Amino acid sequence: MNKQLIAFVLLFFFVNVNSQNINNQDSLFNRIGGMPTIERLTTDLVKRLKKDDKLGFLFEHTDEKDFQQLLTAQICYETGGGCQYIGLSMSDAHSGMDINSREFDEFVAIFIESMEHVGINFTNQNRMLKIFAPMRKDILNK
Amino acid sequence: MNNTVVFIIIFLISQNTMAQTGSRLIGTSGVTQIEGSSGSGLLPWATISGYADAAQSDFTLSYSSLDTKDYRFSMKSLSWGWNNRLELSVAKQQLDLQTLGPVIGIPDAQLKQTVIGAKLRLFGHLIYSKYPQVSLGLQYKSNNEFLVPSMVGAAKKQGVDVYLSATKLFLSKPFGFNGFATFNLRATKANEIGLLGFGGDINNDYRILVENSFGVFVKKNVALGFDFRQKKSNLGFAKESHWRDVFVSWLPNKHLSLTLAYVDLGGVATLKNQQGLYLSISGVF
Repeated sequence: MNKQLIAFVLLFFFVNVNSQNINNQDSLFNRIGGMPTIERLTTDLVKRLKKDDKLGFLFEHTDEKDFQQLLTAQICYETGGGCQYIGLSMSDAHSGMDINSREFDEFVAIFIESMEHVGINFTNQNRMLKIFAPMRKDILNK
Repeated sequence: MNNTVVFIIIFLISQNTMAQTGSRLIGTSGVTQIEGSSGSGLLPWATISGYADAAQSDFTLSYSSLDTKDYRFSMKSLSWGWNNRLELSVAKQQLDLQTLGPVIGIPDAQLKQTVIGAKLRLFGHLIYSKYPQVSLGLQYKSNNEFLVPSMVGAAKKQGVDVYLSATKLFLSKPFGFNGFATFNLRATKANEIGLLGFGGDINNDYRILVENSFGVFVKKNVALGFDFRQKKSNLGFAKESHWRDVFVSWLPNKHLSLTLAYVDLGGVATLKNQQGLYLSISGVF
């Protein structure tokens, strides 16, 4: 029993400590194809969100172009592309929207569809999710 | 009867492919393990069956079978998941003793058991919390035929297993893929998971057993992994072996999962080297 427990704890720490601090030349930004890919991704994502049955209403009054540019800057910044993100913090950006856990997963599913659509491979999709998943606590129920 | 369950699953899926599912992400349902709970092949995970999140609920209907040289195991189950918080399940297990039956003078001998399960997610979220999702589960098990278990010294035909389960999904680890791990502690008196009754001539107390499962999603909807389930003997007539399997699960969509595993049960009730292919199908509605 102890062997099993130790193996589990070690695995848990190994995978958690071994997080991806990729250096700049091998940044996720470059791996996914840089700015052109991100532009296509955010354009596709905004379109999908706006017409989604469950999430569309959240973006009813959102300006498509502004939103797409903010997302582009944010993804570029978070993936190590060297952009400046000038938008609001995640909790301020979602203030008053009262987003619940269902809508969050719905968004993630659409985000994955968009990444598939623009040809980001599975492992890089997961690296993207890894960056954005921790923001959930700043987005829910604001 | 077994074919009927598979037919019903396929029928319901064909009627439901376009229907809405719960909002959780594909794969977070786990698949259905041998006692009817959400998990992998041999053991439950901390996951709640189906895809229901807050204010949602759904059903999972499953059929599984395993053939070794000397035994044929099958299970059918129905579970209900609610709010990503609670899972209730009922499973019927059957073990055909095609080798031992004739030896003991009962050619069609079968072991049969009903398992009623409940699992409550205590805290944590499989994907989004830094720590694992942790659930507490109960499995009330009752033998439908107690003749064979009593012949080999089982003390009781009913028993309750209690388990604490921790499961974590690791986004983008290892190597960009999504790894997963489960660690369980189970308190049980069951002999061969209860198919041979509960307690016996050499032990009649609860024991704490360890179970774990590791693996990786190699695609969004394909998981590879292995399971280990510790076992200890209460009955003197034959020593129980630990159980292991390697599995691949494919979830073509949120309504359907298929699992193929190679299972090693070791020695079961005096018959050694029981290995074979395990197949499981689940539909979520």
